[in-house]
Amino acid sequence: MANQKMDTHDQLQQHCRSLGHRVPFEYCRSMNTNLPCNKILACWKNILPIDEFISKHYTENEMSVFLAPTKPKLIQIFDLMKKAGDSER
Amino acid sequence: MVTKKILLKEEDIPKQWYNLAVDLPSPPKPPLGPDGNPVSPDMLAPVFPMNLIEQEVSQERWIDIPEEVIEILYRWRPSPLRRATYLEEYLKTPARIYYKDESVSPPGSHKPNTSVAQAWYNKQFGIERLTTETGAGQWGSALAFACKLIGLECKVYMVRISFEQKPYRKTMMKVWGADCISSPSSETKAGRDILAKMPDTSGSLGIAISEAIEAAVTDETGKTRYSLGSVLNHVLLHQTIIGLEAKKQLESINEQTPDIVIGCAGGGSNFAGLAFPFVYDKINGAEIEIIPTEPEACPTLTRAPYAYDHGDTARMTPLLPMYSLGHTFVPPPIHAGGLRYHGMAPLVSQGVTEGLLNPRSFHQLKCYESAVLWAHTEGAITAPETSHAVACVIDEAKKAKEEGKEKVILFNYSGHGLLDLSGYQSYFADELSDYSLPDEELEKYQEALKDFPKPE
Repeated sequence: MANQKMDTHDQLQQHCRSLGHRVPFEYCRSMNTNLPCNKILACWKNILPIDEFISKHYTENEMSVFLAPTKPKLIQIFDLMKKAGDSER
Repeated sequence: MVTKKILLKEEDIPKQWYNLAVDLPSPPKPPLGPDGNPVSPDMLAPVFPMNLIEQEVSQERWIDIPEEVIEILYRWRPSPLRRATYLEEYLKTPARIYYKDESVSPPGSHKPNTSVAQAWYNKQFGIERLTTETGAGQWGSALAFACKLIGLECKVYMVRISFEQKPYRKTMMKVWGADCISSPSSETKAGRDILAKMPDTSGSLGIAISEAIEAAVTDETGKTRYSLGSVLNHVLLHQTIIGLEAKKQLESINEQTPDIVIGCAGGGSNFAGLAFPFVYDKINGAEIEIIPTEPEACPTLTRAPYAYDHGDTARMTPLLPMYSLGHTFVPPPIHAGGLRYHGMAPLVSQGVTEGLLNPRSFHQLKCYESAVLWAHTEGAITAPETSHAVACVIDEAKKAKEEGKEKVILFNYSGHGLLDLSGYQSYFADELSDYSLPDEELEKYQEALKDFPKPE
């Protein structure tokens, strides 16, 4: 584990319940603008030592970004709507 | 001879949807925005038409289904209620197993129950074009289908990894006249920004949603809106036609109220569609076990909620850091309004919180094993998501046999798996396995969590 590289588990696959099909671990660790998916700990915790992987490869600042609880859908949509409107102006 | 298909006449199709929000003992609070004030749905007028926004917040128990919507639904509705007699015989169970076959819709799933309604309401509001995002393409193809029939343009942003892995659903969207493009795309600022930073990105649903919403909000004609296929109240409302039909079909053969109602829960819409009319019965005294099912690999409902919010403006939000990495890191709180389960429809979350629903999770091997047994007995190949419901049905049928009870089990056969065969391929190639957390890992988690607040 001490010498674990970022791409060690990249070829492992499992069903992604957000997308609805199988994805490689590489996707799960990089899909969030090169940070992991918000669900990475939940989805991979029974398959590989994901907590050690995360602790090793990401700073607490990064973790606070990608492990932040998902906002309710209406809030997400509202945020994106405002962002799109702001960028247009 | 036992009737295998219980068909409802077209004239008996339900004429109203059922709104559970009215009957929940304590309905979910509106979500709170960054300023601590509720985000009311009418603030979302740039992305949704007002007639759907009204449904989102409606306090009417029954909402009329427009005649024109019913006319379109007649293409496949009322969907058959089937009895799984071949599975019953195989299992030698005294249980009577029924299922609503939502795979008979043209796109092959329950999704068009809401896509048709949403497209119709948008058209009534003067909208000419809908945008959306999709992963594997189940929702994208359902919206493409609906827009073609209603007469709207449809633009689908499909996550790049899915766009490359799921060519057939992409083709389905094209057949129905939609413009399906890979996300991130160069057509939106959100897409261009990501592509500039990471040209090789596989995309994500987050990026695809950003693109779909941007395309709606920035259309200067004001004739474009965004459409979502799950989670929101109005989406679940449109799906309740499934359970309402099932009730009429069971009554038509003098069958009793089901003892057990089962549906797989992703964002919650197919589960809610079948279950909510029975939750109404349960609230009014019926004894029904209502089970949302989900994957053990990434459970949402069967683990404690990610975060609590007691509505304190000081944001001293108690957290249950279920996925914390020990004491050194705790996910930041979010001012959300009410108890939430990760990515689940608020009405389903609330149903769990109130003890009306009893979620269960299933390992993937068991699900594929169940799906194969289903195909060997009933014949059809189930969607991977639906296999979680099938696994639960088989468990319950075996339990009924052990108890010697003639239980009535009803579940939602939410879609076929004919475009999702890669999972079966991996199953037969022995590439799938279930993993259990080792005891020492479990102890480590428990130790890390021992000083954190527990759910009440």
